[in-house]
Amino acid sequence: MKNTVLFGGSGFFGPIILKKYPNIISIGRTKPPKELKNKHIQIKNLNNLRKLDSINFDKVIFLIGSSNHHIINKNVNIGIKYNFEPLIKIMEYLKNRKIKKFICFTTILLYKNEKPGKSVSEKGKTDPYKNNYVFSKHLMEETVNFYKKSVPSIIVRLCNIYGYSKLKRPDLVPTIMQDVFKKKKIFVWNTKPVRDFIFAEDAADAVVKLVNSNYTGVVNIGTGKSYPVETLTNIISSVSKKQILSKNKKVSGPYKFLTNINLLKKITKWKPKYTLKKGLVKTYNIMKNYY
Amino acid sequence: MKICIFGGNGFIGSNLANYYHKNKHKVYVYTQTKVNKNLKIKNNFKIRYSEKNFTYILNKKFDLVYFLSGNSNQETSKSDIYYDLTSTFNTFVNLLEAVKKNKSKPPIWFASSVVVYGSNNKPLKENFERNPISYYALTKYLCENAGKFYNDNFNLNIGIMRIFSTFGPGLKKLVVYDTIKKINSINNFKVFGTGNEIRDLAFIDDQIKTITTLCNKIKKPQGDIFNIAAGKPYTIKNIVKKLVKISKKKVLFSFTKKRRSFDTKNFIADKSKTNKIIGFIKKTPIDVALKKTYDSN
Repeated sequence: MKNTVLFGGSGFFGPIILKKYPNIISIGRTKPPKELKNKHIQIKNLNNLRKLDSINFDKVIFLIGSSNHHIINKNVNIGIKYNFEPLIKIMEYLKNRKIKKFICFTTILLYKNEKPGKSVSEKGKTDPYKNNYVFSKHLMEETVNFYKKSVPSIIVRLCNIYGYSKLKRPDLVPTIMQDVFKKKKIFVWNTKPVRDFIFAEDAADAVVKLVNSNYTGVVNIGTGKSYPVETLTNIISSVSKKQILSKNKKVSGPYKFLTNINLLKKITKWKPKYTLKKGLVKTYNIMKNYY
Repeated sequence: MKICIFGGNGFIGSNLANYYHKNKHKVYVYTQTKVNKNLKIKNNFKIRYSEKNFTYILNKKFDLVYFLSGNSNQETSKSDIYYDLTSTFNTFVNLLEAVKKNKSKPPIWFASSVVVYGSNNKPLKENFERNPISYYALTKYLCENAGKFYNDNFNLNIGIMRIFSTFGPGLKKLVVYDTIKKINSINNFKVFGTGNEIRDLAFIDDQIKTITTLCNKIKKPQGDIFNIAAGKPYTIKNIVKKLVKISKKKVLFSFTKKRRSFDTKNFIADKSKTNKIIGFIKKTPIDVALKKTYDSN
């Protein structure tokens, strides 16, 4: 892993990859959490990356971007600014280096999901125009596709990832966790949707296996198993001894999504180590120390 | 009709503005670079393409809006993607945002380009897979995506025109102009490529007829894409030969045998979708069109 760099090591997923793989070099304007031992290269922004010319690397994990679909769905320019433009900048730099693999992240929300309940593979139809967030991710995929000859790339369509983080995040699990430690009454929008929840440590292993593979193209990352949000809230309720209630509000994503991960398994021989319960309990036990 | 043309100082834009002006429509022309003083349109303004300025302009309540702005030169975009993105993509998104929030929602026709198809030697249909190979092409393709996105999500009426190689008096680039310039200044000149490349070269007057008829027939485009082309392909060698003949000069020419990074072998349009809408339009014969262009230079 000595030749692998990671952009975006101070976000949610970056520190988890860096912690599991201390030889990966972090690059970014914000340092990863203090406890991590990875080498960090400070950059001001992505406009001038000449500083990296002397760094020996040929594999790139690119996590810069925003997954905050609540904000992006209110303003498309935020999606363009935080998801599309940084990707153009890094590609413009990398096209002149000999890169073996570049990996970046979009979303399973791109899929049309015509038959909810049937697992969706990478060949599934997409609907890139359904909202601002998905559109910004579509622009990312088109950009990666444009540079594919000079920068061999993998686009990961990521399902619902969860795990421990000190950051305040809008996703389901971090929101519940934050509320568990701070509030008496805990609510979620809806407990009915069925999703594929992957523990971040499992996803980190899959990403590292992918970056070392010969594959280029689109690949789903998920566990291949889906659960209703209710299963997740019951597990957190049980471990935290707090009741989690549903507001029964309409959710923006699909009500039932199953990820087909056959391609991922074929390329990497990876399989998840954490069950939903094991991952949530670990998340809870780590995050309780943050509050 | 009250018509707004962003990019109305460029080659196609100015011809479009003149056409509507001559036909007694009220025309407003805007540019983000330089006002073309030869264009005899009263309402011709240089503005910054911000959402705020677009909103101000849209309050004039247009019946039809064209967006032909942005970089139009593949050569200049070869080394700088940011110029294309800021001058074309970001500005187009600013316009779409402004229309989305405005009470007045005229149909918007975006000028895309044949280059979004990339390398494909078959007659190009609008539903073919896109494969942009230059920054210019990528930017046009991203704009098409933005148009479709706003059309589908915000009830706007967006049409996409994939414009094929267009020539005529006033255009100071591309193969016809470059060749005329060389014929008039050098006795023995070279032309890019092998000469066997095929282009669907269209005369400007015919393109304007196609565009205006199309936009008149489709009042509320729904993210539709149309090829804007002559529908009759010629090899570059053939075009150069015709121009030499028109010039009556004794010049020699040869080909570099190498194409530029953004050049593709063939661009042949399948015009069936466009023709179905616009019907038969009489075209200027190629020799007449080339002669008019030669004489203007």
